[in-house]
Amino acid sequence: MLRVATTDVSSDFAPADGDLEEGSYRPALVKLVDDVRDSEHQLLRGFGSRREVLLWTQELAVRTLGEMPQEWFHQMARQFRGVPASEHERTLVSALLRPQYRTRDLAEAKAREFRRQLSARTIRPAAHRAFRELRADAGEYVDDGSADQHAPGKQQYVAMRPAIHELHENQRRTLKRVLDGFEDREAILDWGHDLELATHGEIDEAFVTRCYGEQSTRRLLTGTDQSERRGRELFAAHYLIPVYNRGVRDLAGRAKEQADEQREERQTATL
Amino acid sequence: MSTKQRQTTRDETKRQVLEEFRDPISLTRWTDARSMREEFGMGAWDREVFNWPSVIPNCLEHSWDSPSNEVDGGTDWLARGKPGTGKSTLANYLVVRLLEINDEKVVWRGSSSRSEWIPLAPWTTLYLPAGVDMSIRLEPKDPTNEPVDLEVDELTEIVREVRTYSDPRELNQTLDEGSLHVVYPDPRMRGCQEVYERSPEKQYDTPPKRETLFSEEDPANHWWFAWFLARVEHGPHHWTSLIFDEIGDVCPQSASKDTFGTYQKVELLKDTWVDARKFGLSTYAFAHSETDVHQMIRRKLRWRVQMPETANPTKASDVVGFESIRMKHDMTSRYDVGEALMYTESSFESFGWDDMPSPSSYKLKIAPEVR
Ligand SMILES: Nc1ncnc2c1ncn2[C@@H]1O[C@H](COP(=O)(O)OP(=O)(O)OP(=O)(O)O)[C@@H](O)[C@H]1O
Ligand SMILES: [Mg+2]
Repeated sequence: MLRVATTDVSSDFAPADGDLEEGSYRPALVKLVDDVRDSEHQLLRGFGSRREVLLWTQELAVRTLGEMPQEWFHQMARQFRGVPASEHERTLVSALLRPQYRTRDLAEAKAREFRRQLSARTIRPAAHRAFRELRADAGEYVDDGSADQHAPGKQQYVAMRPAIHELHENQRRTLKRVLDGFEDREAILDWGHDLELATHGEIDEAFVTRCYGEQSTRRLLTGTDQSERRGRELFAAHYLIPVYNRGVRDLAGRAKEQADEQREERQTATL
Repeated sequence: MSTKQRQTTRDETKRQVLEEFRDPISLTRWTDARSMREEFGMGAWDREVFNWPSVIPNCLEHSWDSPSNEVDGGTDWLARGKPGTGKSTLANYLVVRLLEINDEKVVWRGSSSRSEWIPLAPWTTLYLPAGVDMSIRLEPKDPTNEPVDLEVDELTEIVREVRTYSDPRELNQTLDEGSLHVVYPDPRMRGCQEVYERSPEKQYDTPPKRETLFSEEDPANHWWFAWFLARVEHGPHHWTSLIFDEIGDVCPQSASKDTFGTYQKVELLKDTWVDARKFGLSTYAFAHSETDVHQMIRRKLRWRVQMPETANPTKASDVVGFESIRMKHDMTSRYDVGEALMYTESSFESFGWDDMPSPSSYKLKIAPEVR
């Protein structure tokens, strides 16, 4: 049952309940703020590995409901490319790692400043946009009738929306699988099904076919060397996480849909 | 049926059957265009989404064997719109499509005051004049932040590769197919006068008190006149497109027979234009208004793009060189940024594009060091 549908006549006469009066969407907003705060804490603390950075990036995309700039994910991906002809990571990735995990010198004060900037300049505005989007979506979540459902702390769902939470779980699982590497070729195909859900259908139609069919890609995905492991991190940063974000956008966002609808009325082709 | 006819039919059948198969997948197909498209979430080019093949597909698809109603060889456009109406963003999308469709060499005119190609920087090969000290600076869009100065070799943190050149002909020999090149002109104009002298049929008045049409004293952007001529006269003649953002800076309507011979050079460009088409060179120009661009050049431009917020023309007399205009009403003044109208003398079609945010809040400014 949708929360908005519960305002039957009798509730107009029901005794005032603080939570309900302020609108049932408030807990969702509180949950969103708490989640972003948690992501920021993780960021400011720094990460222990490139893998942690990737998992955090994916989670952040979901928690900001796809409002982080798409370009930011591509920028992160480029950072994962590493400095040509050396084992070092690029400055931005270094700055995200805690000092003992870095492979290049970087003044800790600088790194901390960088992380604060990232949070202030990019994450906060995105979180703000997500908040406003969600605010407009008042009450869109499933009401299971249990007493505590509106308490944000007890909510396991991202922004209290089960569909988005499910997307998050799919993304996290498919991401971990690819980072771990596959046992064999068949496992890649199997993973492809989950990827469909994890990207909400945003993945390029030939993507899985290529992962399965191209020898070098296959080797990368099934290999066990250190270099292949690193290659998979780059692969995920480049080909998966940006598409995950598009998936979140598609599932959560309505702005783009509306823009597209308007365009369609005029039947304009996109370049 | 003659043997020859039978052979043609067989070839035709074979081609049709083969077309039913998808292209084989291999890593060599991970072209720049492909990776750009993935980065910006663009589907494959499809001419069928447009209602008028002679307008947009005709302008973007370059061919020596075009369908009837469409032109062979190089094409062009002049996109005009007020500041902030999305011209540079459109230019970036255009680059992706040109690379994708024609696998061509794209050359973007680098300018010391702008770097609107920055969204495509990871795929960019940057050309700087050899032996010229360049100041390379990242300027914050927010003026309260400090600018950052870079060394030449630090540029590869931003672009794929940096190359130097000292002659426009030599530069053209090194361009890569299927790639974007951002070229900063040589303020020393090396090789420019030679290119001009090697085309004896092109004769223009030498500016007063000078021996040569091209000289080190010229504004650096005059180098582009020589580059254009060099590309047409000396090749290589692979498909090449010039992205000419702010063309009004180079060929202004106000060009006069000044001490640098600006007018003569605009004439030279005009006289080279028809050969440019024949040699597979296309020019995509962008300007604030029609009258920013010298009319000798405007007459050569067969496509126009009207950006939003300004009315599209409704009479042929509004557009220099056009004998007819199909639009009866203003459409574009109500368009939002992200949509525009493309037209020729015979048809028009509107189209859209997405935003392409810049990866950084800093602008890259590259200019010869002033001493
Ligand atoms: N399709 C689009 N949807 C939304 N915003 C867009 C779109 N295209 C461009 N923009 C935004 O519009 C602004 C102006 O774009 P752009 O710099 O491309 O314009 P311009 O015409 O080149 O401006 P100028 O003449 O000042 O160089 C930018 O902030 C850009 O991000
Ligand atoms: Mg511009």
